[in-house]
Amino acid sequence: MIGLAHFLVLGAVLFSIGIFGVLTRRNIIGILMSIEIMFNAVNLNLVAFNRYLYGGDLWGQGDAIFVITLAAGEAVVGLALVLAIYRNLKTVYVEKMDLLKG
Amino acid sequence: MEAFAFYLMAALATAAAVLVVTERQVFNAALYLAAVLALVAGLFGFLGADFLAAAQVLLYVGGILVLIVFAVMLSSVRDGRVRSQINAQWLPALAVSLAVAVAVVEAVRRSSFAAADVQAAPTTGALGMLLFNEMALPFEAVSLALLAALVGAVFFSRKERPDGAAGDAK
Repeated sequence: MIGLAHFLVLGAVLFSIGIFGVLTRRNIIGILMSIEIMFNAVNLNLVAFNRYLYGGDLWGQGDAIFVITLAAGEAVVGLALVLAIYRNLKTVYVEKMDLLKG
Repeated sequence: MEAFAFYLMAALATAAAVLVVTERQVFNAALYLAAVLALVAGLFGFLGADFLAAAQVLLYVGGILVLIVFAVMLSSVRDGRVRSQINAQWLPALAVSLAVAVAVVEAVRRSSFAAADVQAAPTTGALGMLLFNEMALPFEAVSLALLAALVGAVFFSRKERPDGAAGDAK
């Protein structure tokens, strides 16, 4: 029988994989993809809590919809910034984006 | 059967997520991300969230992933094939992510949840009522955020005008 704990553990594993990706990816698009994995882990937790603890309500799923929507907005703005940076600096590697260091 | 389906989807999602963060080719990583998103949609279906599974496929796999693939192709770097995509701090990063995973799993193991087993029902109608009644204020706030994102994306991605009036200076 699959319970809430299974989903929470899966969410934790996916979230920490996302953290690893954010901390280690050199490509800025890779960092954005890792962030999307973390959003998905959080959504999984929200829906699992909704299903197993508050089965009659749908607030967890409503929150997950908002998270998906804002993730879409974040991806749009983030990728537009990535392309603007690429136009100016000709790189997508974060260690090359060192204009502030002079 | 139910447990087998869950473990299969969970194992595939975890493996695909690991490949997303370790794959050298960014384009292949985007395809593995598609696998992760589709498997999470399957897990939503497993949890009885039918509308959310459909929204996940439409918005993430059909929308965000296409944007990411566009960005990968527009910013393709020639030497991406040979150079490692992982920076030098992978060991501390691995320690941090393992610490987070162990802490959350231990917290889950120590806590007990009073499970209320409810039959899964179609959620689309009820979710619509929820979104436009109790959640109307966050709904409008999210519309405003989406408008801001739209304007911001247009602002950042427009071409420079030759007279230099467009803002992003070389």
